[in-house]
Formats: sequence, C-alpha cells, structure tokens
Amino acid sequence: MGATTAGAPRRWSPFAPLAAALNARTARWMRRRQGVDQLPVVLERRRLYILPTRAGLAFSALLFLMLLAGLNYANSLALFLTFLLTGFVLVVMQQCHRNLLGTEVVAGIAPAVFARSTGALQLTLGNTLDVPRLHLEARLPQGALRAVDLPARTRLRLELPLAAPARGVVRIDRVRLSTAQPFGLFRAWTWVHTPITLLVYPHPHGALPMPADSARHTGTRPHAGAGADEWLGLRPFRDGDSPRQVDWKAYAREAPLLVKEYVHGASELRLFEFSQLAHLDQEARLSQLARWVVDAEAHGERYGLLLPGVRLLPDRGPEHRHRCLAALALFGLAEAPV
Amino acid sequence: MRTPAAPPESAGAPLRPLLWACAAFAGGVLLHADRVPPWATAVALLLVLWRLLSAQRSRLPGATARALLALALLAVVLVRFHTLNGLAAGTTLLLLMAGLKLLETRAARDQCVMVGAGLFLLLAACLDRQELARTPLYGLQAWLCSFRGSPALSGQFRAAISR
Repeated sequence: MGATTAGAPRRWSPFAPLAAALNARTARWMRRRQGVDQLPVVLERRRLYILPTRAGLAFSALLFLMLLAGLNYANSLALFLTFLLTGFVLVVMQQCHRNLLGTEVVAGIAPAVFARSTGALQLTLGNTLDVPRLHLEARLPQGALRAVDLPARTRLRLELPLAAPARGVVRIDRVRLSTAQPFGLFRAWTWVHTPITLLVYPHPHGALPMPADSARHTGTRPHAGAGADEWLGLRPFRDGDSPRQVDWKAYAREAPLLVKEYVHGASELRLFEFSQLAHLDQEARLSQLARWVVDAEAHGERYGLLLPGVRLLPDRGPEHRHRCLAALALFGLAEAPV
Repeated sequence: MRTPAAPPESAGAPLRPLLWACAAFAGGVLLHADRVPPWATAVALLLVLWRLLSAQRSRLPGATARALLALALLAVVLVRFHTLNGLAAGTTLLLLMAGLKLLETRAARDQCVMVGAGLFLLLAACLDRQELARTPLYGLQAWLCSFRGSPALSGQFRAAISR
C-alpha cells in the first residue's frame, strides 16, 4: 500500500534516515544480484520479491486473534473459519506472484525534451498469457507512478512523467514494477535495472535576431551562388519539408514524393556561433542558440552550429536539429552523448 | 479523520467497493439480529443507510458529531448491559462502533477495516451458536468478507478466475 501514497508528502518520522539507508543498501544488493538488464526482459521467478502489504499484516493479525478466540472457547466452527481464511490468504499470495510473473518489459525509451518541461519514460509492457494481468504498477525512483491493466496477449505503453528542470541528462537507473492484485494483501515487485537516459535540450529562449549570412565570413558555404538559389537536385520527401518545395509534377507522373533541393542564397544559410554572443552568460547563450535552431528548422532553413570543440556543418531536417540541440544540451558537461 | 479538507468522495472514487464493504458489515449485523437488542441492530443498519445516502450527496458528519455519537452509544450500552465485557455486550458494542467507523470511510484502508469488522462479527456468531443449519449463513458472510469485500478486487479478475 506504500506505493500508492508515494506522491503525498510523508509524515516526519525519526526512522526516516534509517529507512533511507536501508533502502539504499537493499537497492545496491539487488543491483549486484541481478546485474544490468538488456531489454526486452521477461520477469522470471528468481527476481520477483513479495511481502505482505499493511492490509495483509492487519489481516494476519485479525487471523491470529480469531485463532486465539477459537482456541480459548474451544469452538470448532471458529477454528474452521480461521483455517479457511488462512488458506484464502495463501492462495492470494500465490495469485499475486503469478500476476507479475512472466510479464514482458519490451522497451523503455525517453524521447528528448526541452528544459523546464516534463519528459516521459515510455515503457512498453507485454502479456503473453491468456489471462489478463491486473493493475501492474510502474514506478521511477524519482516518484512517478502509473498503473495499467494488461489484457490477455497484448502489449501496452505506459508513460511515466519525469521532470526536466535543467539542460543535460536525466539518468534513470531502474524502474520498479509491482502489483498488489488481487485483494491487496500482498505486493510482488521487481526492479528492472536498465540504464535509460533522458536528454534535456536547453530551454529555447532569447529575443536576439538570427545572424544572417554569417557563412560569408567563415567560408563554409558550399557554393558561391550570386544571391540566387542554385538547383541541386531531387531528394525523397522528409517530414517537415515545405509543400512548396515538393516536385508535384513528378508526383503527378506517379513518381514518389520528391523535393526539389536548392542551395540557398546567402541570406538563408545561417551559422550560429557560440562566440558571437559574448555579452551573455553561458546558459543564456545556449538558450539563445537553441531558440535559433528551433526557429531556423521551423522555417525550413539550413543552419550550422559552431561551439568550442563542436562544429556542425549547415544542414536541416529533424536529425540535424536533434544533433544541434544535443550538442547544446551536453555542452560543457562531462556526460558522454547517448 | 486525517485530512478534513479532502472531499469524502473524490470525483473518480468508485462506489462499488463502498457498497461491498457496507454489504459485508450489514451481513455481520444481520447474523446477530436475533441475539442483540433490536435497537442496536436498528441503529447499525441506520448508520449503513446514512453512509450510503451521504455517498450520493458527498457529505459526512464531522469529527465532533461522530465523537458525540460514539459517547452516547457507549453510554447506552453501559446502561443496558451494566458492563462492556462478555459476548452479548461486546458484540453490541462492536456493532455500534463499527457502524460509526463506517461514517468515516474514505480510503480503501477504511473499507478494509469494515471488512475486518464483518469478519469479527462472523467470528462472534460462530462463538455464539454453531448449529449446522446456520452454516450456509456463515459461509455466505465469509464469502462476502473475503471475496467480495476486498476493495482492491476489480471485476476483470473475477472474470479471469471464473474461467
């Protein structure tokens, strides 16, 4: 029952540091015992843990009282009732274990987000049994908790929200999967130790105008067209391409969707340089650069990025945007890129 | 009890677990209907009715009202039985106090308590009389408390285990 109240502020307790130390120790022990998991993982018997919940403990205490009363009054019916309920509890324990056993953890990914927003760990769970699995809960050490019912022979995706306050990398070392179903008397759980990183781009912010034609100074422009666009060729359509650049005549001839590519004139080739923004502090510079990258991509322009130690040549498209923003996110951090 | 500001039934709180907890408790009350004084049975059933009606209108009595009611009922039991010990007085007290507890059921935990009270009433009935003819009644009550009364039980699992 503890997990369901995890979001609420806990009451102060003198044993809190002790419990935290014990939890950390247990976590290290489990990590050593299980090793790193390569997804997909099928939850097998050896790695499931099960303990009674608070309701289960209370029920056990009730059973003990009933046993005492039955013995005290030498009453067969009361004893029979006690043993019947004890059997019920034991079956519930088995059912709770079975509810989690054999669940597939198919995939876990965390798509990159901008700082000051909320990212998500997308966890895909699978059920290969012919019976549904009820109320499986997934929880991050950071506190997010989501529950899902897995119908028979299905896969479902869960989204666990994850706060992304500042640029950089949020590491998720482990995810807890647990269930208290049926009846909530026992809780079976396991930790999936799979290293997942959430890349957090800098918050795109800043009102400075985009530098125009900075390519002229550095000489990275591929062609020296005299201001006019130069025909380069056709390439397959990518998401985010402007409909105006699509070669509709070719499409009408039942060719695939092609995009006419030009080398743009000087005014549309942007190069964003870290050193241009010397009057701002580092985070503000990165935010401004991120703003320009986002805007330039939205306008379908070609842009490059120059950071100390990083040089990304002008290009465009979602992959290029990700490369640029990732370079900004990881700038100055010791973390290796994903 | 803990958070007076919280509404008794949040918007998504399911009514069904409450219904089953009430049923488990009412079953326990009815098992004793011919042994405890009629007024005690009537009060306990009235409390169940009160809880069910307030679930519709989202209003429950406050802490002071509950405390006053508890004291008054305790006094009545003392006056009638001249003791709180023994099976008859103890059962009556359990009926009334569990009925009062029903008025502050908010979370699943409180409903577990109600189911526990139902089980204890069943035990008291077993101690009181163990004629063969009453066994089906006891069995019914045990089923209500264990299988149906559990707040965590969802309809899907019943479908799964009945296959």
